[in-house]
Amino acid sequence: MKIFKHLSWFFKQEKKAYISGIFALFIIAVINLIPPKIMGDMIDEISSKSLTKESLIISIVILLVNAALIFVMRYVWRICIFGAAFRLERILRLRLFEHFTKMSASFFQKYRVGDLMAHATNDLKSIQRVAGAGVLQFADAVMTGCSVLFAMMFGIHFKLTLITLLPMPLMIIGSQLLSKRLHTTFTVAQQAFSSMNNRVHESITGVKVTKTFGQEKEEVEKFHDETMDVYKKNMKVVIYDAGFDPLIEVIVVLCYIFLFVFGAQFIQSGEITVGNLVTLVNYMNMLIWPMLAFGFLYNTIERGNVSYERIQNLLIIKPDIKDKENAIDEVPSGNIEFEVKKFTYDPKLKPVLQDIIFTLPQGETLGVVGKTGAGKTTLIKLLLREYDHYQGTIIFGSHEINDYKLNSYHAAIGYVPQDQFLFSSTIEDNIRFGNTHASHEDVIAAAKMAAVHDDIIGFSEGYDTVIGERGVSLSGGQKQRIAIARALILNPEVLILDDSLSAVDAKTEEMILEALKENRKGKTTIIVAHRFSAIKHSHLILVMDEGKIVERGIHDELITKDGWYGKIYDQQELYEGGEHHE
Amino acid sequence: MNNYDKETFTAKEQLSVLLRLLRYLKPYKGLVFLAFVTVIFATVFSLLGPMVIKDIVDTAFVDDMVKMDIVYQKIALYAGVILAFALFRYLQTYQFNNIGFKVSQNMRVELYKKLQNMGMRYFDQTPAGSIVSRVTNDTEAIQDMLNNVLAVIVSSIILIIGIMIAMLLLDVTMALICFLFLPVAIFVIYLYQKYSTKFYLIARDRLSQLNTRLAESISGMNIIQLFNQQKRISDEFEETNKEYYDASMKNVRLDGILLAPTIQLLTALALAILFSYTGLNSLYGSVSVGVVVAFIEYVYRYFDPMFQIMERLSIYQQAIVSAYRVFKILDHEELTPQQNENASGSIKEAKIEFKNVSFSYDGEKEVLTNISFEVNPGETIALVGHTGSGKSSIINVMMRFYEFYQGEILIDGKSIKDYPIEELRSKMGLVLQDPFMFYGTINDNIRLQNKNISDHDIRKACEFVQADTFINQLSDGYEHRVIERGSSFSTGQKQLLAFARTIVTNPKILILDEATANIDTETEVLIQEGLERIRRGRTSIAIAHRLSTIKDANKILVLDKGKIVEQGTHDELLSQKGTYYMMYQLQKSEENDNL
Repeated sequence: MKIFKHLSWFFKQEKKAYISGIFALFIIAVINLIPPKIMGDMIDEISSKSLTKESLIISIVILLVNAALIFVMRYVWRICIFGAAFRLERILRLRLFEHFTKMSASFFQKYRVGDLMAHATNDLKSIQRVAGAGVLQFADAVMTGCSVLFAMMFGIHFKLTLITLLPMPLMIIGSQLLSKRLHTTFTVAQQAFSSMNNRVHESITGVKVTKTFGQEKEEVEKFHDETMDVYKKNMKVVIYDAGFDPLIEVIVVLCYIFLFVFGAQFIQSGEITVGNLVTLVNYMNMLIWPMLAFGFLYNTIERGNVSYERIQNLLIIKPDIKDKENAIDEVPSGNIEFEVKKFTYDPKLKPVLQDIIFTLPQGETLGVVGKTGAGKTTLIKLLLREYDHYQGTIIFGSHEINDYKLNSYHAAIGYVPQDQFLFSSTIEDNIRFGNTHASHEDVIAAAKMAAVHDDIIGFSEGYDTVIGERGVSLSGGQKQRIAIARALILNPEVLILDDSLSAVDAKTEEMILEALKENRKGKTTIIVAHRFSAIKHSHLILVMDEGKIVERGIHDELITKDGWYGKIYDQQELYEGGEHHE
Repeated sequence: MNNYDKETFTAKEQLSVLLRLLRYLKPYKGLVFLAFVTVIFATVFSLLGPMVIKDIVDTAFVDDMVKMDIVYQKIALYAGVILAFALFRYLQTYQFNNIGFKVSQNMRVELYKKLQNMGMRYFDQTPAGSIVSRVTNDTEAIQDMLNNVLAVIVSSIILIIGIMIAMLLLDVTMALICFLFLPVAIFVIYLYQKYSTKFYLIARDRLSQLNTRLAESISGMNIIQLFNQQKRISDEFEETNKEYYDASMKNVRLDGILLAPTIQLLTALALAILFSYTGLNSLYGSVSVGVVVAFIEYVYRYFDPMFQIMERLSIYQQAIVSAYRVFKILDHEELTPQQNENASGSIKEAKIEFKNVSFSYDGEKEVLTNISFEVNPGETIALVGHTGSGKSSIINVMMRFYEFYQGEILIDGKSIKDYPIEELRSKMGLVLQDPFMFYGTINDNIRLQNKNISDHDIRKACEFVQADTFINQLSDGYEHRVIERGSSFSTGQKQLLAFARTIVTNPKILILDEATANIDTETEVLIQEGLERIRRGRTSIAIAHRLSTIKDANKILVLDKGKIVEQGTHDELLSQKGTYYMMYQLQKSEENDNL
């Protein structure tokens, strides 16, 4: 019941819907009692031949009015209660989504996309079920159950009712037992299914390997075993699942037996009539659903509780990075003074950055190189304000970066990520992602600077080409260049290219760098790269290794020194005699 | 509109899909027969119940005298009937589920087999996610229908017919009154199916849009934040969220009117008419109370199956859509290239010849035109050229991923189509640019599914490509589990494992697609060493992205727009001062700028 308390804010908000819905359910529960009684009475009147025309007409009219009223009430409760439940799902989904938009990088590192998706789909569904089906089950179990019992006991015959319902608890116990077994076997079956699912996914994405090694037959055999496993585990579920209906039938029959054997005696002693017996039969049928509803309610609430807790646990997480009080609402501009003594993601591990100190004057270009894992991307992440628990200061313009409002700060930065993430919409929408007011001409200009315009007009739909799963798939190099255009269209104070030229060939790289030089006069640029050609014109090059700056200077200085830069430069020169593959 | 998106069908199309689907029941004739027997028995016994009750009321409770012996007797009979019903009901559910799960299992394997024999083009053109959901989700939807809908439809029809017969036996006029409701109920079902299918599919589509949006936004959250687009993206999300809500509400409203309430209204109407009739009759003559009691029961049961069917219409609709998509794959004709009949023999020397090979992906635009070259046993030939020059296409036809339509590819003087495909696969090793890692251990990833490869072979292969150094540093060595497509390994390490995977099969011919992007220079050195080692003593075709790595190739082919524009050794090509020379100089001059 905890979940109902948790959701009380919502019930309050939807007071009108729930009160009308439950009221409708209450009306149904009560007037539903009328037809069996009337039918029973009519039967008695028929058998005792005391039926009159008037009483017949009245009875029929009552039956019809009753049916019409129930029809209306059913519609009312459905709209009220299920409607509210869907609204709850919608509200919570948006709340979750907006929460996600406020979360920092560490949050998304901790929770994978799949987990978060599960919260936003399955967990929301089970909470929705509490607010919809759960309320219905509760109302049904309590109101219908009680009213029918009341009618049976006080309207017909108290003792016979008790006797008749003696086997009913068995139904609750039996269905609970079955549910438990069902749950465990079902979990196992679900696991088998999801492992099969993973297997198919892996095999489809790795189909080239399978073909290369000629292992199609083995693959099919293995898959056959896997599907057989799914089959067997599902059939275990069926053993219990198939038991539900028969269980109910058997218990109901037990009730019937009690009803008829004892009912016959009561008829004999004149305590009840045959019509009463028929009424009882019909009432008893009406009790089956409330009894089951109790069982369902238990499961609904159980699941709702777990889901609500899970969602709540996400919602209480505070963003790591947020605006300070009195944060400066101004887009930064000026020199960047980077002075980080120490930074570590996890205090237990050794520092990822140590003594990184440099100044980048406004309008200049910084190049950062080093081995994979040297800390280059971490340095960028600090600049992007993805983490702020470093020791030291980073000053941009006249203030420390943490003093700016996050929104204002980000407005100064154009970032091109390593992973070339694009959204599945049109190319045009992707390029103007950060500035939806940009004109088509702006988009083209940015695309030209990023040397991707020619590629785009080569597509049959041009800038309206939809990319992603349902559209055209782009090459790595094309994605990178569109991501560059997306950053360039903002004409940002600082442009950050995080290894964003890796998949473009040397000639294109040269074109892009040239365009940057021309169009970004007076603006700062930071380039992280593996290939030195991308950074050799920089005003300052930092060579990083194990989180430290091991060499610094300009290209010409660095190659003459006997350091890592010089050594790798020689190797690159040796290897990179030619074209770069895209 | 994409064919896979097709979700509405004409009645004729639906029928043909359904019929084809039902053909999958054929192998389980016995099971299906059993299932039908159980459903018939279950239905008959469930019909007998009210009959017995009627009997009790009519025979035991006559004229205020209760004959207890008859009550006991009949009640025992009734209990027996219902127990039999319960038993058959259980068997029925079990059997139908059994059929559903069997059919889906069968269908999955059939699909999977088909996919394994599909040409590479299919995989290049179809997103992996959609293929996966054909194999798993669509087959599940079909299974759902076989499990739940089939039994209900069959039992409903039998039930309705049975009840009609029972009613006729009890009282012809009353029965006929009830029959009048049948066309009305069918019309309601028709209306419901018409709208619910539409609304249901819309709601489902909105939900999938919502989830796609959500997943994408989560993966791209840092971009959204850095570009200050939280507000806009949230608004857009809420828009889709609202669309889903609206679609769901349409369903709720429709259900509110047509689903249970209408059927219940019809039931009430039928009962009212029934009572009017019997009541009037009783005013002028006598009426059997037992018949009335039984009729009440039958009326309830008469309408219930209609509700059951309506409730499951969406499952049926989903299954038809799913089956359509599954059949679409099964009917796909683009199979992997076929070998000639009587293909035999084995590759010994591994001399490769391309003779005027032309090839096109779409049958229109040629991507390879008259490609001819020769590679002698043990030699290395390198392919260079820009993106789209045809390098990868040469690999695609050589590996028989795609069929070439003109010219010949010979190995040891015999057409590549005259070798059994197994022979080609075992003698030709392809190293992919993107080393794909499977779930499993390092051992599994090198052995793949070839049981003839021993642990010792794997160790030797790893030592050979020098992957052993990093493997030995892992606490569990070769039993180390590869997670998330090998994300815990560097690109270089993955590449070395891919080398080991190829070398352990000891191929005669090597086809190498060099990795380029996102590799730091030190890793590159490691890979180059591995490459040199595995090339030794093998005939190799290498796609080279770094010209320096192929300086010592026996021959270099320079490709442009699907044609060989230059060929020769590194030195020869340089002295020709052509395309190769230009390519070589480009980077070189850049590097030398500042020297």
